[in-house]
Amino acid sequence: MLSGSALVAVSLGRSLRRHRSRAISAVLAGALGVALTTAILVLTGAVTDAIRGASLDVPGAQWVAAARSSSGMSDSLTVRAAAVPGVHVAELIRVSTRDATSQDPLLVVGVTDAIATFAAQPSALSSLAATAPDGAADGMPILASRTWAAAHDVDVGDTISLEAPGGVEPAHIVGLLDRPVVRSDNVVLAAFADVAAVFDRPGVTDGVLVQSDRADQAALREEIDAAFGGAASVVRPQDSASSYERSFKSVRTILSLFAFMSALVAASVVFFCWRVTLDDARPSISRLRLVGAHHGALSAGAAMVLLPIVALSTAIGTPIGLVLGANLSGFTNDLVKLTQLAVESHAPMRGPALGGALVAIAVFAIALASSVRTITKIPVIDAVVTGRPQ
Amino acid sequence: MTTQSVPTVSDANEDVRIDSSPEPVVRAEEICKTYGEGPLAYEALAPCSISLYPGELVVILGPSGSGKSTLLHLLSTIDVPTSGHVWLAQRRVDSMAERDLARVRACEIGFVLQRDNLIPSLRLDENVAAPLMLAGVSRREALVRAREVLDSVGLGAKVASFPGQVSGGEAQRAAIARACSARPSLIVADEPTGALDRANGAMVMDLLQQVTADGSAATLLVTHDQEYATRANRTFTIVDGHLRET
Repeated sequence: MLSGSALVAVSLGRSLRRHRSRAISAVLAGALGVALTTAILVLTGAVTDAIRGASLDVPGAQWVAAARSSSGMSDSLTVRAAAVPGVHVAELIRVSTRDATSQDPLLVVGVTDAIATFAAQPSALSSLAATAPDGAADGMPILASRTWAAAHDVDVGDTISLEAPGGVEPAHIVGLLDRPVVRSDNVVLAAFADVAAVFDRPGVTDGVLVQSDRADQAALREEIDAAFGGAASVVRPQDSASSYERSFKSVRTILSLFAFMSALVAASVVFFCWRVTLDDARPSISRLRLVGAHHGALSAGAAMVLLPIVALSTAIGTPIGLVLGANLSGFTNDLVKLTQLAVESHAPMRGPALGGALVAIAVFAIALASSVRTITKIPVIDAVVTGRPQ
Repeated sequence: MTTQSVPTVSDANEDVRIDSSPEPVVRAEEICKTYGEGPLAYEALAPCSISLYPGELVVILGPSGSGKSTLLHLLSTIDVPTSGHVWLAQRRVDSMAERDLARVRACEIGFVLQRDNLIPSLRLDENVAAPLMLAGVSRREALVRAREVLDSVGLGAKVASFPGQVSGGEAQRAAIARACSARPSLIVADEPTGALDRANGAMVMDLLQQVTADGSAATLLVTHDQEYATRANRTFTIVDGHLRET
């Protein structure tokens, strides 16, 4: 029966080829839909990746109280949180800056000594605590992300320069971390007091990590929430970037709507071109039915014609979308800057390419569904009725 | 041409065989066709029975609008009767599923129409190979067989031409080639010479007569041209939807 479907495909394909403009319009519309969807997926993927990089990665902490204000909250609130029965707390302060040498964005996280008890690498953090802040002649002692250090060709004992409100500040690498408290790799850790002093943020904290063995975590959360009196939102550490994600949600919704609209326009053009082609091919279809083509063979034949159009649309649209998405990195960076986080956005490739291909498949699935509907409605008698009234 | 005496009496709700002959290729019992319902109902074909036997050429005569084509459509699975039953090659086809019906059309029936027979986007050899390919024969084998059949009807040089590139007579010959390419049980021809000049019409009729005599198929020819009745084994007349053997 494959040869029957191939015969139908040959017939429909030639009908489509006779009107090249329709075939070209269908391919271009499909490619446009794929390109725009892919570009938008690259854009949103890059921003989402960047924002996720800012979420905390502290396995020992059950909760984090993240300051609602970008300027932080009073560190006196930490005392109130620490007074909640059965909890241990650690403060952190987060500053977005740049490595003065490479000009790459860098997140400086100041942590109190207590974090050593619940972070993934307590020994490394203890080394930070053991280094006297004013004892390092080469500047503030820091623990660098191992990945970041490797990327910037620095190691333990080296000194780097950080951009700070008072000018360029030296920082001395005293250790390397595999899991540097936040998911981003562009991170260095320093003592809380050092960061507050170097970056001119006295008396404030950006977040308080809470550890507790208490069984009733819901009640604990309520108590911590009450302790901060609305100045912080109490969330799980992995959700600590959710506020940034919420900020980005409306932008993502608009972009998704734009992608949906472009896919819809593509689907409409492809649907229209294919429908007109099928209407023209109506006599051929009825005659094919007359000589033994059943609905399955006709539908398979239609799919065989649409398949190369899908492939061509995807082949044209995907690279254009990826290039377009990558070239919109300025827009991506602007979106990431809104979070005030020193995170780098990495434009994803595989996901958006897959998304674009799925859009192409969806667009042409609509056209195929429509053609199956049209084909099954063409009666055999159409082939033999020559204008005589029924 | 072989002649077979296989008379069938119709319109009297009888289907009487006089001599012992093979099983009928087509057998229709009490079939009728009514369009519309209630006071608007129009009976295109009154209840009638008819059987066609292998190797015979049956001609249905009648004026325009008398119900000739309706009968042809009912016997060839193009339309379903309002009541009555149709058997084709020993299988009841009036209530058959679409997929099975398509296979019956590909394997058991060859169609020759007045005009617009061929699929315009397919070459002549592809048109002739279509029933074979739709019946599951491989493309290569079907095309080889189609070219042989086209050669036998004098169109060997035009196998790669499209229907729009050949004359009306050639297109009808190609349609006959397609009709018999799958060696069907029944060939139905609806006014096959209606759009042709006298010479081409005669050529097409000769061809139809020849393929009927050569094979095991029965040919049902619908025409309003009395002259062709002389070539038939049996002739029926249909007037106002009533079928009578003449």
